[in-house]
Amino acid sequence: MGRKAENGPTEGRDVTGLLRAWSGGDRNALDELTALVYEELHRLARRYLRSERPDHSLQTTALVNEAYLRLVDYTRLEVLDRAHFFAVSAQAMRRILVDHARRRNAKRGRGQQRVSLDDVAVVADARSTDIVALDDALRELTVRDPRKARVVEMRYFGGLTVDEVASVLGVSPVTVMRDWRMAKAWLYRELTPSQHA
Amino acid sequence: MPDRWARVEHVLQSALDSPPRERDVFVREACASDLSLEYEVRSLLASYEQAGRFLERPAAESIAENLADEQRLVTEDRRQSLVGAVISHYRVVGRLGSGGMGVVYKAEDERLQRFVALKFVSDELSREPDAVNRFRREAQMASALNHQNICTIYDIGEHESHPFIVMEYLEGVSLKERISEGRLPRHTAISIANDVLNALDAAHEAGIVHRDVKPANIFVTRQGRAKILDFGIAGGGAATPVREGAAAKAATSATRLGTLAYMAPEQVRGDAVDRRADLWAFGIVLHEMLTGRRPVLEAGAAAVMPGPLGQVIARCLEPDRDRRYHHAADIRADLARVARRANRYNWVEWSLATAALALVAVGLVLSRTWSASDAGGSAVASTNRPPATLARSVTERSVNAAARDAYQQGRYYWFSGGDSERTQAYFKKAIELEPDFAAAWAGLADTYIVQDQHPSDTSPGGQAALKAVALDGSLPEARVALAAVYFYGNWDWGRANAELQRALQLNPNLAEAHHLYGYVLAALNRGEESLAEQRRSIELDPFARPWALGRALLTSRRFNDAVTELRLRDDARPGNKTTMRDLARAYWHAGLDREWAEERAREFRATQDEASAEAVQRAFARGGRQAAAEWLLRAEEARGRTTYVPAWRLAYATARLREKESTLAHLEDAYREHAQALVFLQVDPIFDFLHGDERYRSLVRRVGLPAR
Repeated sequence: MGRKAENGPTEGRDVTGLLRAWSGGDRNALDELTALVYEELHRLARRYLRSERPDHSLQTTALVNEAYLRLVDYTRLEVLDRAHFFAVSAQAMRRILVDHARRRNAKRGRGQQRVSLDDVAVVADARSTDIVALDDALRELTVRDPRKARVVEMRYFGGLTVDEVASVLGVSPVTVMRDWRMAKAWLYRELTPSQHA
Repeated sequence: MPDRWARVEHVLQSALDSPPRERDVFVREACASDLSLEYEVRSLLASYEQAGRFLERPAAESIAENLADEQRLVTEDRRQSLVGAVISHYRVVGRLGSGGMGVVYKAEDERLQRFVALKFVSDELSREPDAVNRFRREAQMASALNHQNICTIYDIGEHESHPFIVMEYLEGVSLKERISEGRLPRHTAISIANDVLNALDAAHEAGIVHRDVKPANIFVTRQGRAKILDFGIAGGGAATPVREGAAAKAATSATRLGTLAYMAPEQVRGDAVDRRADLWAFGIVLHEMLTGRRPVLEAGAAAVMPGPLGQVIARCLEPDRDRRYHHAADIRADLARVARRANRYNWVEWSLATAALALVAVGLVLSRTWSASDAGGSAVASTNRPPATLARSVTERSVNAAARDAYQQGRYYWFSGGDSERTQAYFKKAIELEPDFAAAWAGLADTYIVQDQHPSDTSPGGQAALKAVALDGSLPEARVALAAVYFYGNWDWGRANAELQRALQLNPNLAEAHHLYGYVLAALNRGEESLAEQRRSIELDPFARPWALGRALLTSRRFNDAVTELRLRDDARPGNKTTMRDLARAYWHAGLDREWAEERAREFRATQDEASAEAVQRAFARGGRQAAAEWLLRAEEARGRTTYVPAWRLAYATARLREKESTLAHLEDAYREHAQALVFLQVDPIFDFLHGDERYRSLVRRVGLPAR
């Protein structure tokens, strides 16, 4: 683990401002955001390590929600701003997380010890999802059906709830769920080699 | 969007909307003879069915978990390399184990020629200066405790910037391992209990609270002596109050899960703790030693094993710590008394009772109702009760003791969600002894209202509620009972609301008032406010109605959050049927099918219905959740042929299969039956698929719910 978190929790920094700068075209803002997100990921990882339970499914949802909350304090935003920032933060998260996965894949390729996924690799779980491949498939999906791709981006990368996604897209939550299930079916098929080819 | 895609989507979505048994035919017909369309739809349907939890957990989560896995491997390597190393004057000879805080080695002290245990702080904690400081400080504190029942701390040190503790080397097993093999013989349990109490007594006298007493932290040596480990160390990790503020609250309670089962109510709430928190934990441990399982914590009280030992445990488990034992030594004395008496009576009574493990109430059971009328002490969060409510405590103080006891028993059963006949029997007895006992009338009303076919001014529940109000109009519990009549019976939201506001004026900290108000708000589709009320109700009373917040999340369509919340509550207090049922619903809507099926099976097992549990699991294995839901419907229908099954339940069973016509028909029947659950007709996500239907909308109007 490279980065340490001696510089303390991130809540003091203005993630909102960085997102605003990034969506306004400031490329450096993304680097700063990346640093913050990495810090948060490592903080999360440490929390997982500390927990004794082999099955993290319980704690993690809460932890991840907390992480998103710490990164982007939506409550501080004006109502009109909120929808916009949900979308922007999901985009930023996607960029950062995919980049992160790509770098780690490259590192492994250089002969680093491969992570053991033992029991988790067998289940069709987000955990064993190849994020880089998913990103590619998502681009494909954007061509076919941009709204569904955005739903996935906001839910999976942005950690938004169905209601939040609905408010960003200006559609009903039912529509979001319908988009989600179709996108899920399609993406799952894309990422499952040769089964339906 | 290409036409082709739109066509695929149209057929796919309609197929997913239609009952599974009709899907095959539907797809074939919808695709006419367009084979490539049919192929595409079928392949997506298959993919959807296999996808499971794919993408259901946010990306950040999986990445962080992978990081944690990698780190674990690296740490593992480093740890292994320590064996054989000489650290200071300790030669590491082997690894003893690891836990959340770090890893423990066996080492030889080369100077004193004895074995010691070296405990290293885990890698990730050693990076946090706060944690390291806490580790050191608490090691110092614990080293001040020199007691035969406390694992001795010899030294602290640091190796390659990893702090470690040098401790007494013990041979034996942890109490957790012992209990996992089954309950302990009585004399063994009492002997261990005595050792633990001696240790706690010594520590408490030195001003140190352990904060994490649990079987895993109690070591039983080969000689059979118990020693408490991690004094003040483990507690620092698990019980440190939240730093990150409100947002972190849920996460913190989740990370506390491991030991939540042993935490006193004040500790769960995050209040400052004192020695009495350790005594609560001790009570749980004692129960677990004697019976092999932890007591069921219900409604601010514990349902513990019967008998004289059970009474000791019950006093350890008083939700109000003022009523708990204050000193470990007092428990020790009571245990000695019980043991002496037991020797005389040969334990017949005790062993019979343990064998049956009947869940009975022992000791004084406090309910919030009672606490509100008892100026001296209170069960939950009533310290800041306004003086206004103290006035009426005078009337109730004059109630005779036997009536009061019966009332408390009744409240206990009521909050346990258990035997309604027994609950009513107690309230009736209280009323018999004290005909003007308003609180007992309110209690009786609560139990009647859930049974009333149609609660109203003239139904038994309504009558009892009116009587309670007539006897004491300033009794908030009476107002809540009346509100329940208006809400479930009259579907009169306005009057229900007025009564609840009144109750909350009389006692702003009355958990059940917040709870019912939360339901009213949920029914009226005011999700956010409803969440706030349920959150408040569960804060005020973490043990009663553990499903409250989870259900509010469910009706607010926050399914994943509902799963997290309900699992937390279910873990902390397993066995509550409503929690189980709501958890199953949350799984269903979150798309966690396997978990849903397992939860349904667990629900059957809770009522000793093994055959149904297996059948639902078989159906699930065969054809996923649709097949399991079909089985559940058939089971309800079969039951309906021999006994009365409420239409509401049938509506639920058909709604799972999205069978529109039959669901609407059952709902109409439910309306004719005046099913109380219809108040949630509009917000229950299971009926979402009906929202476009005019017949459904008409039903919503007739119940008087505002259109969405």
